[in-house]
Amino acid sequence: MARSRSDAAEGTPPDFETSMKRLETIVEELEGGELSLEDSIKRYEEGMKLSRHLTTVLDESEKRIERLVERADGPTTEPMESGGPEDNGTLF
Amino acid sequence: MEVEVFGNVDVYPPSGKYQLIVKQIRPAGIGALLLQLEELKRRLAAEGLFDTDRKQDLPRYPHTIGVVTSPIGAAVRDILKVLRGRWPGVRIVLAPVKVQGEGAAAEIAAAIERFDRWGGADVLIVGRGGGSIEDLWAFNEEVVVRAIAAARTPIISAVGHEVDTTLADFAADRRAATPSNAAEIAVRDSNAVRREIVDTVRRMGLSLRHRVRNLRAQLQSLLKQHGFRRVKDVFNTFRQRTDEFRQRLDEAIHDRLAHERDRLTRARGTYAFREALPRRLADARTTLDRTRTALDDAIVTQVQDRRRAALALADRLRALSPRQVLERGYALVKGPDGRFVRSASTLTPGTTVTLEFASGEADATVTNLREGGTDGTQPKRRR
Repeated sequence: MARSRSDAAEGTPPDFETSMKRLETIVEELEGGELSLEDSIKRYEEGMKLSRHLTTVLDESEKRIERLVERADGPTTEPMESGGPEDNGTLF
Repeated sequence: MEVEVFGNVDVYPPSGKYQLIVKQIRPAGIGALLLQLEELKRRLAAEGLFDTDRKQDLPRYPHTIGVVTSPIGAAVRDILKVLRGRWPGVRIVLAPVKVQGEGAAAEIAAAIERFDRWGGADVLIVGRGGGSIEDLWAFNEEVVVRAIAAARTPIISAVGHEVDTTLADFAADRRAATPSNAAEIAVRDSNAVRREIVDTVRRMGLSLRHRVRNLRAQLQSLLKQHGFRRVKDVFNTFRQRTDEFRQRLDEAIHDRLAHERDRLTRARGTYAFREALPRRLADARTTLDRTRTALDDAIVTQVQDRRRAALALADRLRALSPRQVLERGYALVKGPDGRFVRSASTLTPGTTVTLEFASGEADATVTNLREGGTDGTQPKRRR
Protein backbone atom coordinates (compact mmCIF):
# COMPACT_ATOMS: atom_id res chain seq x y z
CA MET A 1 0.00 0.00 0.00
CA ALA A 2 1.19 3.46 -0.78
CA ARG A 3 2.91 5.41 1.96
CA SER A 4 3.64 9.12 2.11
CA ARG A 5 7.10 10.55 2.60
CA SER A 6 6.32 11.61 6.14
CA ASP A 7 5.49 8.00 6.99
CA ALA A 8 9.02 6.88 6.34
CA ALA A 9 10.39 9.76 8.39
CA GLU A 10 8.35 8.61 11.37
CA GLY A 11 9.78 5.12 11.09
CA THR A 12 6.44 3.42 10.62
CA PRO A 13 6.75 -0.29 11.38
CA PRO A 14 6.25 -2.69 8.48
CA ASP A 15 2.87 -4.06 7.56
CA PHE A 16 0.83 -4.87 10.64
CA GLU A 17 -1.45 -7.22 8.74
CA THR A 18 1.42 -9.35 7.40
CA SER A 19 2.85 -9.66 10.89
CA MET A 20 -0.53 -10.68 12.30
CA LYS A 21 -1.00 -13.31 9.62
CA ARG A 22 2.48 -14.67 10.21
CA LEU A 23 1.78 -14.91 13.92
CA GLU A 24 -1.44 -16.83 13.25
CA THR A 25 0.40 -19.20 10.93
CA ILE A 26 3.06 -19.80 13.56
CA VAL A 27 0.59 -20.69 16.29
CA GLU A 28 -1.23 -23.05 13.92
CA GLU A 29 2.05 -24.74 13.00
CA LEU A 30 2.99 -25.12 16.64
CA GLU A 31 -0.41 -26.55 17.52
CA GLY A 32 -0.25 -28.86 14.50
CA GLY A 33 2.66 -30.63 16.17
CA GLU A 34 4.32 -31.50 12.86
CA LEU A 35 7.44 -29.46 13.56
CA SER A 36 10.63 -30.77 15.06
CA LEU A 37 11.55 -29.48 18.49
CA GLU A 38 14.23 -27.25 16.98
CA ASP A 39 11.79 -25.74 14.48
CA SER A 40 9.15 -25.37 17.20
CA ILE A 41 11.56 -23.33 19.30
CA LYS A 42 12.54 -21.24 16.27
CA ARG A 43 8.88 -20.56 15.48
CA TYR A 44 8.19 -19.72 19.09
CA GLU A 45 11.03 -17.20 19.14
CA GLU A 46 9.85 -15.68 15.87
CA GLY A 47 6.32 -15.48 17.23
CA MET A 48 7.49 -13.76 20.39
CA LYS A 49 9.41 -11.25 18.32
CA LEU A 50 6.37 -10.58 16.17
CA SER A 51 4.10 -10.16 19.16
CA ARG A 52 6.49 -7.62 20.70
CA HIS A 53 6.58 -5.72 17.42
CA LEU A 54 2.80 -5.76 17.10
CA THR A 55 2.30 -4.63 20.68
CA THR A 56 4.71 -1.75 20.07
CA VAL A 57 2.58 -0.64 17.14
CA LEU A 58 -0.54 -0.86 19.27
CA ASP A 59 1.11 1.20 21.98
CA GLU A 60 1.84 4.08 19.60
CA SER A 61 0.55 7.32 20.99
CA GLU A 62 -2.03 9.51 19.33
CA LYS A 63 -0.79 11.49 16.40
CA ARG A 64 -1.73 15.05 15.64
CA ILE A 65 -4.44 15.37 13.09
CA GLU A 66 -3.24 16.43 9.67
CA ARG A 67 -4.93 18.27 6.87
CA LEU A 68 -4.71 17.41 3.21
CA VAL A 69 -3.61 20.44 1.16
CA GLU A 70 -2.85 21.07 -2.48
CA ARG A 71 0.62 22.37 -3.35
CA ALA A 72 2.25 23.20 -6.66
CA ASP A 73 3.93 19.76 -6.75
CA GLY A 74 0.73 17.96 -5.75
CA PRO A 75 -1.25 17.10 -2.63
CA THR A 76 0.50 16.87 0.74
CA THR A 77 -0.38 17.11 4.44
CA GLU A 78 0.26 19.64 7.15
CA PRO A 79 -0.64 19.69 10.85
CA MET A 80 -3.98 21.22 11.73
CA GLU A 81 -3.61 24.68 13.28
CA SER A 82 -5.41 23.66 16.43
CA GLY A 83 -4.81 20.63 18.66
CA GLY A 84 -7.98 18.90 17.58
CA PRO A 85 -11.71 18.96 17.94
CA GLU A 86 -11.58 18.44 21.71
CA ASP A 87 -9.36 21.49 22.15
CA ASN A 88 -11.04 23.76 19.70
CA GLY A 89 -14.77 23.61 19.48
CA THR A 90 -14.94 26.50 17.06
CA LEU A 91 -13.12 24.70 14.23
CA PHE A 92 -15.17 21.54 14.51
CA MET B 1 -44.71 26.59 -10.39
CA GLU B 2 -46.07 23.17 -9.49
CA VAL B 3 -47.84 22.73 -6.19
CA GLU B 4 -49.38 19.96 -4.14
CA VAL B 5 -52.87 20.70 -2.79
CA PHE B 6 -54.55 18.96 0.17
CA GLY B 7 -58.33 19.30 0.99
CA ASN B 8 -61.84 17.89 0.59
CA VAL B 9 -63.87 17.47 -2.60
CA ASP B 10 -67.53 18.60 -2.39
CA VAL B 11 -70.54 19.15 -4.69
CA TYR B 12 -72.14 22.60 -5.01
CA PRO B 13 -75.93 21.81 -5.10
CA PRO B 14 -77.30 24.79 -7.18
CA SER B 15 -75.04 24.10 -10.20
CA GLY B 16 -74.14 20.46 -9.49
CA LYS B 17 -70.40 21.22 -9.92
CA TYR B 18 -67.53 19.77 -7.86
CA GLN B 19 -65.63 22.08 -5.58
CA LEU B 20 -62.34 21.65 -3.70
CA ILE B 21 -62.01 22.91 -0.16
CA VAL B 22 -58.23 23.53 0.16
CA LYS B 23 -56.64 23.02 3.53
CA GLN B 24 -52.92 23.03 2.55
CA ILE B 25 -50.80 24.00 -0.47
CA ARG B 26 -47.05 23.17 -0.87
CA PRO B 27 -44.48 23.17 -3.70
CA ALA B 28 -44.12 19.94 -5.64
CA GLY B 29 -40.24 20.26 -5.59
CA ILE B 30 -39.40 17.12 -3.59
CA GLY B 31 -41.43 14.90 -5.85
CA ALA B 32 -39.70 16.31 -8.92
CA LEU B 33 -36.30 15.98 -7.20
CA LEU B 34 -36.96 12.35 -6.33
CA LEU B 35 -37.99 11.61 -9.89
CA GLN B 36 -34.76 13.24 -11.06
CA LEU B 37 -32.83 11.16 -8.53
CA GLU B 38 -34.40 7.94 -9.75
CA GLU B 39 -33.49 8.83 -13.30
CA LEU B 40 -29.83 9.54 -12.36
CA LYS B 41 -29.65 6.35 -10.31
CA ARG B 42 -30.91 4.31 -13.24
CA ARG B 43 -28.42 5.95 -15.59
CA LEU B 44 -25.37 5.43 -13.33
CA ALA B 45 -26.44 1.89 -12.51
CA ALA B 46 -26.67 1.17 -16.23
CA GLU B 47 -23.07 2.42 -16.51
CA GLY B 48 -22.10 -0.16 -13.89
CA LEU B 49 -20.97 2.32 -11.26
CA PHE B 50 -22.82 0.46 -8.52
CA ASP B 51 -21.76 -3.05 -9.58
CA THR B 52 -20.75 -5.36 -6.76
CA ASP B 53 -17.66 -6.58 -8.58
CA ARG B 54 -16.31 -3.03 -8.56
CA LYS B 55 -16.19 -3.03 -4.76
CA GLN B 56 -12.72 -3.07 -3.23
CA ASP B 57 -11.76 -4.85 -0.02
CA LEU B 58 -10.95 -2.63 2.92
CA PRO B 59 -7.54 -3.02 4.56
CA ARG B 60 -7.79 -4.87 7.86
CA TYR B 61 -5.14 -2.79 9.58
CA PRO B 62 -5.01 0.62 7.88
CA HIS B 63 -2.24 2.93 8.89
CA THR B 64 -3.68 6.15 7.56
CA ILE B 65 -7.34 7.14 7.37
CA GLY B 66 -8.47 9.98 5.11
CA VAL B 67 -11.63 11.79 6.15
CA VAL B 68 -13.72 13.89 3.77
CA THR B 69 -16.34 15.81 5.73
CA SER B 70 -17.20 19.16 7.26
CA PRO B 71 -14.71 20.35 9.90
CA ILE B 72 -17.66 21.62 11.89
CA GLY B 73 -20.30 19.46 13.51
CA ALA B 74 -20.89 16.17 15.25
CA ALA B 75 -19.84 13.94 12.32
CA VAL B 76 -16.13 14.76 12.33
CA ARG B 77 -16.04 14.69 16.11
CA ASP B 78 -17.65 11.25 16.19
CA ILE B 79 -15.29 9.91 13.53
CA LEU B 80 -12.14 11.17 15.26
CA LYS B 81 -13.32 10.00 18.67
CA VAL B 82 -14.13 6.49 17.52
CA LEU B 83 -10.96 6.13 15.41
CA ARG B 84 -8.70 7.19 18.27
CA GLY B 85 -10.67 5.22 20.79
CA ARG B 86 -10.30 2.03 18.80
CA TRP B 87 -6.81 2.50 17.45
CA PRO B 88 -4.94 5.39 19.08
CA GLY B 89 -1.90 5.15 16.82
CA VAL B 90 -3.85 5.52 13.57
CA ARG B 91 -2.87 8.49 11.42
CA ILE B 92 -5.78 10.74 10.49
CA VAL B 93 -5.70 13.13 7.57
CA LEU B 94 -8.65 15.46 7.17
CA ALA B 95 -9.93 17.15 4.02
CA PRO B 96 -12.37 19.77 5.30
CA VAL B 97 -15.22 20.41 2.87
CA LYS B 98 -18.62 22.03 2.64
CA VAL B 99 -21.18 19.22 2.82
CA GLN B 100 -24.30 21.17 1.93
CA GLY B 101 -25.34 24.19 -0.07
CA GLU B 102 -23.88 25.81 -3.13
CA GLY B 103 -20.61 24.16 -4.35
CA ALA B 104 -20.62 21.38 -1.71
CA ALA B 105 -20.71 18.53 -4.25
CA ALA B 106 -17.78 19.94 -6.21
CA GLU B 107 -15.70 20.33 -3.03
CA ILE B 108 -16.44 16.76 -1.92
CA ALA B 109 -15.56 15.36 -5.35
CA ALA B 110 -12.34 17.41 -5.50
CA ALA B 111 -11.26 16.23 -2.02
CA ILE B 112 -11.80 12.58 -2.95
CA GLU B 113 -9.80 13.04 -6.15
CA ARG B 114 -7.01 14.81 -4.22
CA PHE B 115 -6.75 12.03 -1.64
CA ASP B 116 -6.59 9.47 -4.43
CA ARG B 117 -3.86 11.44 -6.19
CA TRP B 118 -1.91 11.75 -2.93
CA GLY B 119 -2.12 8.00 -2.41
CA GLY B 120 -1.17 8.14 1.28
CA ALA B 121 -4.51 7.07 2.73
CA ASP B 122 -5.29 3.35 3.11
CA VAL B 123 -9.01 4.05 3.32
CA LEU B 124 -11.29 7.10 3.03
CA ILE B 125 -14.35 7.98 5.06
CA VAL B 126 -16.68 10.25 3.08
CA GLY B 127 -19.80 11.60 4.72
CA ARG B 128 -21.66 13.87 7.04
CA GLY B 129 -24.16 13.83 9.89
CA GLY B 130 -27.91 13.56 9.68
CA GLY B 131 -30.16 16.14 8.05
CA SER B 132 -33.09 16.64 5.70
CA ILE B 133 -33.07 15.11 2.25
CA GLU B 134 -32.11 18.51 0.86
CA ASP B 135 -29.22 18.71 3.36
CA LEU B 136 -27.85 15.38 2.19
CA TRP B 137 -28.38 16.18 -1.48
CA ALA B 138 -24.73 16.80 -2.33
CA PHE B 139 -24.13 13.07 -1.85
CA ASN B 140 -26.65 12.37 -4.59
CA GLU B 141 -24.86 14.59 -7.08
CA GLU B 142 -23.40 12.89 -10.10
CA VAL B 143 -19.94 14.50 -9.66
CA VAL B 144 -19.62 13.00 -6.13
CA VAL B 145 -20.88 9.59 -7.17
CA ARG B 146 -18.43 9.49 -10.08
CA ALA B 147 -15.49 10.61 -7.89
CA ILE B 148 -16.24 7.82 -5.41
CA ALA B 149 -16.59 5.21 -8.14
CA ALA B 150 -13.36 6.30 -9.82
CA ALA B 151 -11.19 6.35 -6.67
CA ARG B 152 -8.55 3.64 -6.29
CA THR B 153 -8.48 4.20 -2.54
CA PRO B 154 -11.18 2.13 -0.81
CA ILE B 155 -14.04 4.34 0.38
CA ILE B 156 -16.52 4.00 3.24
CA SER B 157 -19.59 6.20 2.83
CA ALA B 158 -21.27 7.61 5.91
CA VAL B 159 -24.14 9.91 5.05
CA GLY B 160 -26.77 10.87 7.62
CA HIS B 161 -28.46 8.17 9.62
CA GLU B 162 -29.22 4.51 9.03
CA VAL B 163 -32.42 5.28 7.11
CA ASP B 164 -30.78 7.78 4.75
CA THR B 165 -29.49 6.31 1.56
CA THR B 166 -27.75 8.38 -1.10
CA LEU B 167 -26.20 7.48 -4.45
CA ALA B 168 -22.78 7.95 -2.77
CA ASP B 169 -23.66 4.92 -0.64
CA PHE B 170 -24.31 2.82 -3.75
CA ALA B 171 -20.98 3.81 -5.30
CA ALA B 172 -18.87 3.38 -2.15
CA ASP B 173 -16.94 0.17 -1.46
CA ARG B 174 -18.71 -0.07 1.88
CA ARG B 175 -21.70 1.75 3.32
CA ALA B 176 -21.73 2.76 6.97
CA ALA B 177 -24.96 3.57 8.79
CA THR B 178 -23.47 6.61 10.51
CA PRO B 179 -20.12 8.44 10.71
CA SER B 180 -19.32 6.63 13.98
CA ASN B 181 -20.08 3.36 12.31
CA ALA B 182 -17.73 4.29 9.46
CA ALA B 183 -14.90 4.75 11.98
CA GLU B 184 -15.74 1.36 13.54
CA ILE B 185 -15.58 -0.25 10.13
CA ALA B 186 -12.32 1.53 9.25
CA VAL B 187 -10.23 0.32 12.17
CA ARG B 188 -10.39 -2.69 14.46
CA ASP B 189 -10.58 -2.27 18.20
CA SER B 190 -6.94 -2.34 19.27
CA ASN B 191 -7.88 -3.87 22.62
CA ALA B 192 -9.42 -6.83 20.83
CA VAL B 193 -6.30 -7.12 18.68
CA ARG B 194 -4.14 -6.90 21.78
CA ARG B 195 -6.15 -9.72 23.36
CA GLU B 196 -5.68 -11.77 20.20
CA ILE B 197 -1.92 -11.27 20.34
CA VAL B 198 -1.79 -12.16 24.03
CA ASP B 199 -3.91 -15.21 23.35
CA THR B 200 -1.66 -16.22 20.47
CA VAL B 201 1.43 -15.89 22.62
CA ARG B 202 -0.27 -17.98 25.30
CA ARG B 203 -1.17 -20.65 22.74
CA MET B 204 2.39 -20.69 21.44
CA GLY B 205 3.70 -21.16 24.97
CA LEU B 206 1.19 -23.92 25.67
CA SER B 207 2.07 -25.75 22.47
CA LEU B 208 5.75 -25.59 23.16
CA ARG B 209 5.35 -26.64 26.81
CA HIS B 210 3.10 -29.47 25.71
CA ARG B 211 5.68 -30.51 23.17
CA VAL B 212 8.51 -30.44 25.69
CA ARG B 213 6.38 -32.32 28.22
CA ASN B 214 5.66 -35.01 25.67
CA LEU B 215 9.29 -35.32 24.72
CA ARG B 216 10.32 -35.52 28.36
CA ALA B 217 7.77 -38.26 28.96
CA GLN B 218 9.10 -40.12 25.95
CA LEU B 219 12.65 -39.73 27.18
CA GLN B 220 11.73 -40.98 30.63
CA SER B 221 9.97 -44.02 29.33
CA LEU B 222 12.99 -44.65 27.15
CA LEU B 223 15.34 -44.37 30.11
CA LYS B 224 13.15 -46.62 32.18
CA GLN B 225 12.90 -49.16 29.43
CA HIS B 226 16.66 -49.45 29.18
CA GLY B 227 17.20 -49.46 32.89
CA PHE B 228 19.07 -46.19 32.78
CA ARG B 229 17.49 -44.74 35.87
CA ARG B 230 20.59 -44.91 38.00
CA VAL B 231 24.27 -45.05 37.33
CA LYS B 232 24.57 -48.39 39.10
CA ASP B 233 21.76 -49.78 37.06
CA VAL B 234 23.47 -48.48 34.02
CA PHE B 235 26.65 -50.40 34.76
CA ASN B 236 24.88 -53.54 35.87
CA THR B 237 22.67 -53.58 32.92
CA PHE B 238 25.59 -52.81 30.74
CA ARG B 239 27.68 -55.67 32.11
CA GLN B 240 24.74 -58.03 31.97
CA ARG B 241 24.02 -57.11 28.47
CA THR B 242 27.67 -57.31 27.51
CA ASP B 243 27.94 -60.82 28.94
CA GLU B 244 24.75 -61.79 27.31
CA PHE B 245 25.93 -60.36 24.06
CA ARG B 246 29.26 -62.15 24.30
CA GLN B 247 27.56 -65.45 25.00
CA ARG B 248 25.15 -64.91 22.22
CA LEU B 249 28.00 -63.97 19.95
CA ASP B 250 29.93 -67.15 20.85
CA GLU B 251 26.87 -69.23 20.25
CA ALA B 252 26.22 -67.51 17.07
CA ILE B 253 29.79 -68.04 15.84
CA HIS B 254 29.68 -71.68 16.90
CA ASP B 255 26.37 -72.23 15.17
CA ARG B 256 27.64 -70.44 12.20
CA LEU B 257 30.79 -72.52 11.94
CA ALA B 258 28.87 -75.77 12.31
CA HIS B 259 26.42 -74.63 9.77
CA GLU B 260 29.15 -73.64 7.33
CA ARG B 261 30.97 -76.90 7.82
CA ASP B 262 27.78 -78.77 7.19
CA ARG B 263 27.12 -76.76 4.13
CA LEU B 264 30.64 -77.33 2.87
CA THR B 265 30.32 -81.07 3.23
CA ARG B 266 27.03 -81.11 1.51
CA ALA B 267 28.33 -78.87 -1.19
CA ARG B 268 31.32 -81.09 -1.74
CA GLY B 269 29.09 -84.19 -2.22
CA THR B 270 26.93 -82.36 -4.59
CA TYR B 271 29.98 -81.06 -6.37
CA ALA B 272 31.55 -84.55 -6.90
CA PHE B 273 28.35 -85.93 -8.25
CA ARG B 274 27.80 -82.98 -10.52
CA GLU B 275 31.36 -83.20 -11.83
CA ALA B 276 31.47 -87.00 -12.28
CA LEU B 277 28.32 -87.43 -14.25
CA PRO B 278 29.40 -85.58 -17.37
CA ARG B 279 32.78 -87.20 -17.22
CA ARG B 280 31.19 -90.61 -17.08
CA LEU B 281 28.92 -89.75 -19.86
CA ALA B 282 31.85 -88.57 -21.93
CA ASP B 283 33.77 -91.78 -21.19
CA ALA B 284 30.78 -93.87 -22.10
CA ARG B 285 30.36 -91.96 -25.26
CA THR B 286 33.99 -92.43 -26.19
CA THR B 287 33.78 -96.14 -25.51
CA LEU B 288 30.64 -96.34 -27.52
CA ASP B 289 32.25 -94.53 -30.41
CA ARG B 290 35.28 -96.71 -30.28
CA THR B 291 33.19 -99.86 -30.16
CA ARG B 292 31.09 -98.68 -33.00
CA THR B 293 34.15 -98.00 -35.13
CA ALA B 294 35.63 -101.38 -34.30
CA LEU B 295 32.37 -103.03 -35.17
CA ASP B 296 32.20 -101.19 -38.46
CA ASP B 297 35.79 -102.24 -39.27
CA ALA B 298 35.04 -105.81 -38.42
CA ILE B 299 31.95 -105.85 -40.61
CA VAL B 300 33.85 -104.34 -43.52
CA THR B 301 36.71 -106.82 -43.10
CA GLN B 302 34.33 -109.73 -42.91
CA VAL B 303 32.42 -108.57 -45.92
CA GLN B 304 35.66 -108.20 -47.84
CA ASP B 305 36.88 -111.66 -46.73
CA ARG B 306 33.62 -113.22 -47.73
CA ARG B 307 33.78 -111.51 -51.06
CA ARG B 308 37.30 -112.72 -51.64
CA ALA B 309 36.30 -116.23 -50.64
CA ALA B 310 33.29 -116.09 -52.89
CA LEU B 311 35.44 -114.95 -55.79
CA ALA B 312 37.96 -117.74 -55.16
CA LEU B 313 35.14 -120.24 -54.99
CA ALA B 314 33.73 -118.96 -58.20
CA ASP B 315 37.14 -119.39 -59.86
CA ARG B 316 37.37 -122.91 -58.54
CA LEU B 317 33.84 -123.67 -59.66
CA ARG B 318 34.62 -122.31 -63.02
CA ALA B 319 37.69 -124.58 -63.19
CA LEU B 320 35.60 -127.57 -62.23
CA SER B 321 33.04 -126.98 -64.93
CA PRO B 322 33.07 -129.69 -67.67
CA ARG B 323 32.64 -126.99 -70.22
CA GLN B 324 35.91 -125.51 -69.13
CA VAL B 325 37.54 -128.90 -69.84
CA LEU B 326 35.94 -128.98 -73.22
CA GLU B 327 37.58 -125.61 -73.96
CA ARG B 328 40.88 -127.32 -73.64
CA GLY B 329 39.96 -129.79 -76.49
CA TYR B 330 38.17 -132.52 -74.59
CA ALA B 331 34.84 -133.94 -75.67
CA LEU B 332 32.09 -135.69 -73.74
CA VAL B 333 30.68 -138.94 -74.98
CA LYS B 334 27.05 -139.72 -74.39
CA GLY B 335 25.65 -143.18 -74.99
CA PRO B 336 22.38 -144.00 -76.69
CA ASP B 337 20.70 -143.69 -73.26
CA GLY B 338 21.93 -140.11 -73.05
CA ARG B 339 24.31 -140.89 -70.22
CA PHE B 340 27.97 -139.99 -70.27
CA VAL B 341 30.17 -142.92 -71.22
CA ARG B 342 32.81 -143.58 -68.55
CA SER B 343 34.19 -146.85 -69.81
CA ALA B 344 34.69 -148.39 -73.25
CA SER B 345 33.48 -151.73 -71.86
CA THR B 346 29.94 -150.35 -71.75
CA LEU B 347 30.07 -149.99 -75.50
CA THR B 348 29.76 -152.44 -78.31
CA PRO B 349 30.86 -151.90 -81.87
CA GLY B 350 28.15 -150.43 -83.94
CA THR B 351 26.73 -148.31 -81.06
CA THR B 352 26.04 -144.79 -81.97
CA VAL B 353 27.36 -142.28 -79.44
CA THR B 354 27.06 -138.53 -79.32
CA LEU B 355 30.21 -136.44 -79.00
CA GLU B 356 29.75 -133.17 -77.21
CA PHE B 357 32.38 -130.50 -77.92
CA ALA B 358 32.85 -127.14 -76.37
CA SER B 359 30.93 -125.91 -79.27
CA GLY B 360 28.43 -128.21 -80.97
CA GLU B 361 27.84 -132.01 -81.02
CA ALA B 362 28.54 -134.81 -83.43
CA ASP B 363 27.19 -138.36 -83.70
CA ALA B 364 29.70 -141.20 -84.14
CA THR B 365 29.60 -144.97 -84.42
CA VAL B 366 31.84 -147.24 -82.33
CA THR B 367 33.97 -149.40 -84.65
CA ASN B 368 36.52 -151.01 -82.37
CA LEU B 369 36.96 -151.69 -78.61
CA ARG B 370 40.21 -151.88 -76.66
CA GLU B 371 40.69 -152.92 -73.01
CA GLY B 372 42.17 -150.49 -70.48
CA GLY B 373 42.60 -146.74 -70.62
CA THR B 374 45.39 -144.42 -71.45
CA ASP B 375 45.45 -143.11 -67.91
CA GLY B 376 46.13 -146.60 -66.57
CA THR B 377 42.76 -147.12 -64.90
CA GLN B 378 40.99 -150.32 -65.48
CA PRO B 379 37.72 -149.70 -67.09
CA LYS B 380 36.26 -152.95 -65.60
CA ARG B 381 36.74 -151.76 -62.13
CA ARG B 382 34.99 -148.62 -62.87
CA ARG B 383 31.32 -148.52 -62.67
